[in-house]
Amino acid sequence: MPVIEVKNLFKNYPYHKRQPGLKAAFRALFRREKLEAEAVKNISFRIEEGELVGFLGPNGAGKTTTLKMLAGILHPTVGEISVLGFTPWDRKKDYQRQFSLVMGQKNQLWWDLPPLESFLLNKAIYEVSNDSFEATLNELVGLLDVKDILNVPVRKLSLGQRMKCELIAALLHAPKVLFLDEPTIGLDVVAQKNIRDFIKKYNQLNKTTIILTSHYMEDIKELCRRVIIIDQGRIIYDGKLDDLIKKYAPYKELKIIFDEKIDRARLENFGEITDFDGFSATWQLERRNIKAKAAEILASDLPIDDILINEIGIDRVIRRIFKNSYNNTKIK
Amino acid sequence: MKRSVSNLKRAILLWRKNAQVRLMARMAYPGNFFILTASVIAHMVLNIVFMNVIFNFVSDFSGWTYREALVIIAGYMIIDGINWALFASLTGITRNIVNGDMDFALVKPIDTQLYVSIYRADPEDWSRVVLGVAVLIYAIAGLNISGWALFMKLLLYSVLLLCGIVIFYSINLIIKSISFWTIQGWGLQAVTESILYASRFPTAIFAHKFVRIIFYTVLPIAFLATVPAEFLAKTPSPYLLSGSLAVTVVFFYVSRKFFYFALSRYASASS
Repeated sequence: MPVIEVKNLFKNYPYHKRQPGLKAAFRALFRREKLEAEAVKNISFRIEEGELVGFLGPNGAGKTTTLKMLAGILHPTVGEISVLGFTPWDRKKDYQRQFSLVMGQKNQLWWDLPPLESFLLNKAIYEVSNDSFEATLNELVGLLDVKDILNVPVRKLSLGQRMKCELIAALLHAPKVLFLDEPTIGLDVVAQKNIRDFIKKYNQLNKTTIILTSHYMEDIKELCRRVIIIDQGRIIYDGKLDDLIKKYAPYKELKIIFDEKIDRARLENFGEITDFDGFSATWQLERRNIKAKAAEILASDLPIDDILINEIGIDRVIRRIFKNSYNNTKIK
Repeated sequence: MKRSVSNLKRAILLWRKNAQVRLMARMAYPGNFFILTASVIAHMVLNIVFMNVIFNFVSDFSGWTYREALVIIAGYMIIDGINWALFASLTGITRNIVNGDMDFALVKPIDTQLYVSIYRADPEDWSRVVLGVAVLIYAIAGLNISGWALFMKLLLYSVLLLCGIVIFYSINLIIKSISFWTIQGWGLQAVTESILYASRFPTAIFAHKFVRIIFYTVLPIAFLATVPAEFLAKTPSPYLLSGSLAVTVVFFYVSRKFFYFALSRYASASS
């Protein structure tokens, strides 16, 4: 039985439209145009225990809205959700004790006090026993290497240190499900790597089901075997990350570097060139054709210095999905 | 029954922990802590000064002597102090709705009303309560009540003042819940403060019958400080006792229902 099951989920938000200016502001006191935004449109998916799934999508796609419905913060307009057998927006205490939500852009810790005080408060809220609290805290502090900052006021900590402490606060009650909304946002590359390594290790050790939203492709590449891509409220892909590349980038890049400057006209016969600077040229070719094309170019009389065959980066794949430009690309 | 006792124990433990955390947070800035405490005391003293000014010109205030009027002032100070010391968090509802921090209240395994009521407390406001009790003691000293009669009156007064605290909390919660519709609700704090300010005076000063009916029913300001003071300093109708208890139960029930109804409108905020 899946841990998370979402069926035909819709979420609409009412909002008011207003013209700029003082007159319009005064008119809006008495009459406003009411509109409805469709944040989530008919999404369905299932997640099994222990999966670490990436939610990917541009800003405003509906990722955080979906996460908030899974956490019970928002009611859907239409649809069903089951997490650990519970309907999230019923907000049953038994459900709330089994999941955690971390939002990278928001802070749950007491700002003026050391993180340890917030941990003790969470211990009381989640009714964690003394033994369990000590054991879990020691484990998490060890994994995240934050022993030295537990008694430093949160406002004095760096962003990376704060995020580590946010994660500890969220995991003290050993939740079965963890919702991470952009946990590495604003962090430097070292801090991002530390957080990623921790999430990966924690998921492996505890088999916690994790949904992660992020704009950083490194987060998705490092952590998630499965991705759900949401765009304009709809799921446009749900599957393995490797399959995503194969599906949306059925081609590779062939780059040839020349010994001397080459006339572009000499290269046109080999296919459509996507990049050319006189000393190198790049073609975008279907995977099944690339070996043959590479062999053809190597066998020609062109003054070749080096040859490179590259995968299209996942970042570009995702960008192209969002720009919806794949259908217009000619493949040879 | 067992579960209710367990929930109550947890609520007290949580409140204590919150209060400790809040006090520590305040004391982390010693200068600010002392300034806040001094300003709270000054604010309260002004109420007593104001009453003194009135009694410089009159010998009774709609049938209330100076000492009897001080009992009302003391009740107001105690209610105000308890409201800020225990339930200052209610002022944060609007901010939490605007910036989406209400999200965190909704994911924790604790009664949301309890959580938003006690999450933040202003410990320096206990000085209002202490001052209120001091004024009460001074007022009682001039009432010529003693022995068993004083004990019984104080008991009734305490029960009715507790009702007043719960009634004001309920009114405060209802008004602050309006923020779920208005989103920006900064004016709501002024509304609740005005209601409490009005309770500083004996309800009898409001001569119009319609106004007095409102203050005993729909907006039960009379039951905040005046009715408890009547049971201590005067000989009121016993129906006011049952009336106070009934209003307390009704308003608490309505406020809780209204809060959760308003909460269903919560739409979070963009990240």
